[in-house]
Amino acid sequence: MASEAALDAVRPRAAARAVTPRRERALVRAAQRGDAAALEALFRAHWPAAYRAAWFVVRDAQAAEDIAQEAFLAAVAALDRFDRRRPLAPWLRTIVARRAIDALRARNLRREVGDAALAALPSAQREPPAGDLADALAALPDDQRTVVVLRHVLELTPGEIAAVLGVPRGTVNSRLRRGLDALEPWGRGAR
Amino acid sequence: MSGRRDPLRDLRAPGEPDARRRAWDVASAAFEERAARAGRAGRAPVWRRPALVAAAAAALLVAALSPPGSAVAGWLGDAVRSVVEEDRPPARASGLDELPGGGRVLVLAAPRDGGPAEPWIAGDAGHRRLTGPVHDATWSRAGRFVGLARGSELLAVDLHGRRRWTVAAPGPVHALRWSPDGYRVAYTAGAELRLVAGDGTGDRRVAFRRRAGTTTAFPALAWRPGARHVLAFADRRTLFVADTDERRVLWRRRSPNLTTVEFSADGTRLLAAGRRRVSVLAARDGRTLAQARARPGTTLAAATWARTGRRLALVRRTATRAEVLVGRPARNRIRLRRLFAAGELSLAGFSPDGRWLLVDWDETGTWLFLPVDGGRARQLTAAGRRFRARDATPRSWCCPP
Repeated sequence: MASEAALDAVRPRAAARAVTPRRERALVRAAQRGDAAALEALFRAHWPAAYRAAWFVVRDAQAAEDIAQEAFLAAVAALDRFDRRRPLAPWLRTIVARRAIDALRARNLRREVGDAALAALPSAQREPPAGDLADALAALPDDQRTVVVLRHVLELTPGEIAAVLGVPRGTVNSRLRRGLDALEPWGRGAR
Repeated sequence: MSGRRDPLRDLRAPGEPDARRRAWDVASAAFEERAARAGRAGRAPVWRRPALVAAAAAALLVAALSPPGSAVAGWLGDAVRSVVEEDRPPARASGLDELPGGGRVLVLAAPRDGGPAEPWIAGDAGHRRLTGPVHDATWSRAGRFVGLARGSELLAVDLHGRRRWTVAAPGPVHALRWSPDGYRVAYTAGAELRLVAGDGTGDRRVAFRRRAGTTTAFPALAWRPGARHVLAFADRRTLFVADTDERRVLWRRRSPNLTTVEFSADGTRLLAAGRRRVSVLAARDGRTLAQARARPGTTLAAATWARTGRRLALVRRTATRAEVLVGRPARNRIRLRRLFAAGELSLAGFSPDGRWLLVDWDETGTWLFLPVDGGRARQLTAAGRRFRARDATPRSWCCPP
């Protein structure tokens, strides 16, 4: 088992390094055989996107941590039953997306008082204000922000997003378009 | 997607390094547990591998007889031992996997960075962190799930921290209590006492107090064991016992400032404790069966039944120290004897077999396992460190066989 210190020593850039489908299949096979280093490689490859996506959807570090953790625990629990011919990433990311959306909906049902971010409206100004792309993304309305995060952080397809959200695919595309248009001044507009 | 690197993919979220470290701890622990299970299930007994054992023994003999080989004899000895001992259970990582009295303990561990407490479990179900910060936690009846309170959210997770359901409450959630049959969870949310089914559905209000102030309106709750869903709850002045299925109050009595109510395991008696007095009441009609008062200059801090229902424990505090007392109700009185005394103590409860009492000795960071029938006490020092925390408070000990 790689130590905690060894994991911490991994540079952030390396932690987010993409894993090819072939390499991922090999890692899943190794993890099924009990190779902890393979699990660690899968964790490094997929956890950052899971946490970031959850955070940008729910904007709550504790909830995001739980969502990403639950997704990985589900993966560990299902490891023996997992079909090695299927890619792991879409399955894991769909779990994260569903949990994050459930958490967001539960929170909205609560109608929290004093959560200024929930009431934030998309900025009408076209010039980049103070703040960065992360602030701008966080300030998008829930429906647009969720779609942008699922598409560009979790890399789900519009069809997968429509299935997760339970809305028509055209709605996903229009929300995505409006969200990306709002982010354009920060360098992430529609292209 | 264009060929350019998408800047949205490079965004960082707050708290990522710490969250990543904690998540890896949990994931790797779950993986180790899975590997250990698979290893125990799939490994052939050592007697089926005589050739391997014989070869290793022969090698050891050759090494011992040969001067040049004597240097490696120790290593070979270790190798033989590892073959022979391979089928034994793995060494315990800490003193938390096997508790005196068995069962499992629910712990709230306050992190070293001063953040809110996180729920952990220790004991026969493993030793692991369940989720991020919460402010209250309770076992389900059989100890297969944990109910957690986080702000205005009530959630149920399994013993691996996987979320089973969530309820959005109308106010800060406190005082969770899972019914003995597992089909109801009672909790307070600000000024309300509420009830939800054990699967997270059917959330509804049971009682309401307009002048709740900043603290919870119902500081003490308990379910009665039995077929009906009978709940005891106390506001600032009155103790109620109600059938929540029929939505009917069975009886009430004036009992100001109760901090604890708890039914005995057979459901016939109700322990009702405040800072000045502890009473044992008849569960059927609220009649006082026995009681004890705090001496002048002392207060009562906690009280709980042993699983058998014949014995109870409580903490009595003076200005400088605390005492753990155990006793039996008899002839209108509760005869108490002192089990342990020290500076600052709090009760976590009796072991599932009723023979041990778990006490948190706060100022030393030590958990004490006190044998109530006599014998040698055991202790777990530096309890916080075992949960990677500044402080670890045992909340309750689960579950009766």
